[in-house]
Amino acid sequence: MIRIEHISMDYPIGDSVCHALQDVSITIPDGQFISIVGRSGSGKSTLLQIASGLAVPTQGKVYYQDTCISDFSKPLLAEHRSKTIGFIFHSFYLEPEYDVYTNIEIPLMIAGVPKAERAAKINAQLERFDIKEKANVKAKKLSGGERQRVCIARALINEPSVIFADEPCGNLDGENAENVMNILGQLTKEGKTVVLVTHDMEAAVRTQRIVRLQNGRLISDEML
Amino acid sequence: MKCSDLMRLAIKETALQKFKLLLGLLLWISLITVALCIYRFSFSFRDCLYQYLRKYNSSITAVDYVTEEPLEDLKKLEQIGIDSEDIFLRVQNNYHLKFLTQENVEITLPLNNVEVTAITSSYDTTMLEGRTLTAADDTKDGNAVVIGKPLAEAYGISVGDAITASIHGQKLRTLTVCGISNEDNTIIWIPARPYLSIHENTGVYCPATVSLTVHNPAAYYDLKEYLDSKEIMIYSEFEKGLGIIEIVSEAFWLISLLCMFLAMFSMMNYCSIFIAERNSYIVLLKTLGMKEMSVSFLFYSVIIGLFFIAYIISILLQKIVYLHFQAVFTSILKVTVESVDHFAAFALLCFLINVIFVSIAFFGKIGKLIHGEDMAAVRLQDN
Ligand SMILES: Nc1ncnc2c1ncn2[C@@H]1O[C@H](COP(=O)(O)OP(=O)(O)OP(=O)(O)O)[C@@H](O)[C@H]1O
Ligand SMILES: [Mg+2]
Repeated sequence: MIRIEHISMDYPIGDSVCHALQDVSITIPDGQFISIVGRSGSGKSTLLQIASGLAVPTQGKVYYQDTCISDFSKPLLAEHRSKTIGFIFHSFYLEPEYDVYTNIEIPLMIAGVPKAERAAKINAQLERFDIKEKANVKAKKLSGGERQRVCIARALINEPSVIFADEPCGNLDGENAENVMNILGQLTKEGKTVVLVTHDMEAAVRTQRIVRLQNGRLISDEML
Repeated sequence: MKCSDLMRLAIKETALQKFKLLLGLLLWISLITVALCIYRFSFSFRDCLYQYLRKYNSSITAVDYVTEEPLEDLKKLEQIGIDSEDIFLRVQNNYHLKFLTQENVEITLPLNNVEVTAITSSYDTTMLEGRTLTAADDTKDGNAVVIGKPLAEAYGISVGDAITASIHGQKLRTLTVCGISNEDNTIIWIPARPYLSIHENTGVYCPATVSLTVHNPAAYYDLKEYLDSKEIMIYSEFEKGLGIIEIVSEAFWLISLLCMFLAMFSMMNYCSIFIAERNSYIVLLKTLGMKEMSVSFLFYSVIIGLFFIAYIISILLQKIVYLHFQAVFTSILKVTVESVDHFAAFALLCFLINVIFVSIAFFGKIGKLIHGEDMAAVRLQDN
C-alpha cells in the first residue's frame, strides 16, 4: 500500500516558486491498477516521482507499507527503488550502445543479485516479452515497440511490487500501445500495483481507478 | 552493488567513448607529450650546450684586473692551473727605472711614451732581428728582453747588447737584448718574473695590470673563487654562455609546466563534457536505485582509467619524439648527451597533479551533475 498524505511540491524558478503539487493525498492499495490523468503541467510526473521516492516533497509524507519513505536517506531511498519499484518510461531510457541483455541486467547488478542467478531471470523476461532472439542486439537497433518491451522487462526483472509507468504508450503506435496496456493489465492480475500516468482517456478507462490533477491539485478520484 | 559489476560497467563505459570525446583525450595526450618532451629537452639542451661550450669555445674567460701583488698572483694562478701563457701582465712603471746601454747611454723610462711591459707569455710579434721571448725566459733569473725598433734605432742597440736596469741610481740587473721587434713603439718587453724580481729587493711599489684568459673550464670556477675574494668583476664569455643556457632551459621548463596545466584544464573540460554527455544514463542508473557513491565511483574510475591509458600513450609518444629530437640536436652540435633529468619523477608528478585536480573538480563542480539538486528531481519523461 502506498499512502500519500498532504503533499506539496514547490520548485523554485528564479525568484518565484512553481507550486507543482498542492496538498495532494491518495492511498493506493496493493494490487490496484490506477491511472493519473490531467493536462500537461498539472503535476502528474511530479506526483509519480514523489510516490516512487525519486523526489522528496516540500511538505507531507509518503508511506510505503506503513514505513515513511519521505524520511529515508538518499541511499535508503535508492535501495527502496531498486528492490520494490519498477519504472517504465515514456522514452524508454535504454542505453543504446548496450545490448538488450545488458540493459536488462543493470537493475540486477544494482540490486546485487549474484551473477549465477541472473541469466535465468533475464531469459524468463526475454521469453515473456518475446524478445529472446534480440538478446544480443544493441538497443539502438530495436523498434519502438521492442524498446518498450525491453524497458518493461527491465522494470520487472527485480520482481518489484509496484510499477510506475509515465506515459508508457506516448511513443508507440496503436498496436504496440495496446500491447503495453495488456501487459500492464496482466501485471495487476499478478498482484502488482500499477500506477499509470497518461493523457489518453481511452487508456485510463481500462484501469480500476482514475485520479485527476489540475494545476497541482487533486480534483477527482473515481473508481471504475 | 558488487565491485566486479561496477568494474564491468566501467569497462563497458570506457569502450563506449565517442569520437567527439576522444578528441578531448587526444588533446590531452598531445599536451602531456609536449610537456614531457620539453621537460626532458630542457635538460639535454643544457647538457649539450654546456659540453659544446667546453669543447669548442676555448678562450672563454677574459679578466683584466689591477693587482698590488703580481708575483703572489702569478703563483696562485699557476696553482689554480692557469697556464702562464694565458697571462699577460702589464706593469705600470711610473717610477724611474733607468736603463744603461753598453755605451753607457742612460735610457730613462717613462720617456716619450717608452714603457716597460712585463709579459709572461711568449710575445708574438714580427721580429726585425733576433728572437722573440719564450716561456723559458720567464724565470726569476732570466735576463732576455725584446725592444722596439724606434728604441734600437735611437740608441744604436742591437741583438746581443747588454743593458742595465737601475732605480734611484742603484744598478739592479744586467739584461741582454735577444730581439728587436718590428713594431713601431718604444716598449721594452721584459718577462714578468725577472722584472718583478728586480723590484723585490728594492721595495718599490709595483702595481700591475693582469690580463688573462682561461681556456680550461675546469679552472674557471677556481679562478672565479680566487678573483671573487679580491672583489674583481669578471668578464666571462663562458659565464655569459652559461647564463643564457640557464635562462633558456628555465624557459623550457616553464613552457612544459604551462603545457601540463593546459593539459589539466583540458582534462577537467573533458570530464565535464563527458559527465554532461552521459547525463541521461546517470539519471537512469540513479532512478533504478544505484547509490550516488556507486555512480560517482563508476564514472570516476572510467575517467581515471581513460586518462591512465592516455598517459601511457603519452609516455610512449614522448619517448619516440624526444629520442628523435635529441638525436638531431646532438648530431648538429656533435656532442653526446647523458643528462640526469629526473624524468620519471616529473612524468609521475604530471599525472598525479592532473589526477588530483581532476579529482577535486570531479567531486566538486562536476560532481554536482551527479549529486546536485538538479539531479534530485529526475525527470522521468523528456518534455
Ligand atoms: N525540476 C523542476 N524544476 C522546476 N519546475 C519543475 C520541475 N519539474 C517540474 N516542474 C514544474 O512543475 C509543474 C508540473 O510538472 P510535471 O512534470 O509534474 O507535469 P506533468 O503533469 O507531468 O506534465 P506532462 O503531461 O507534460 O508530462 C510544471 O509546471 C513544471 O514546469
Ligand atoms: Mg509528465
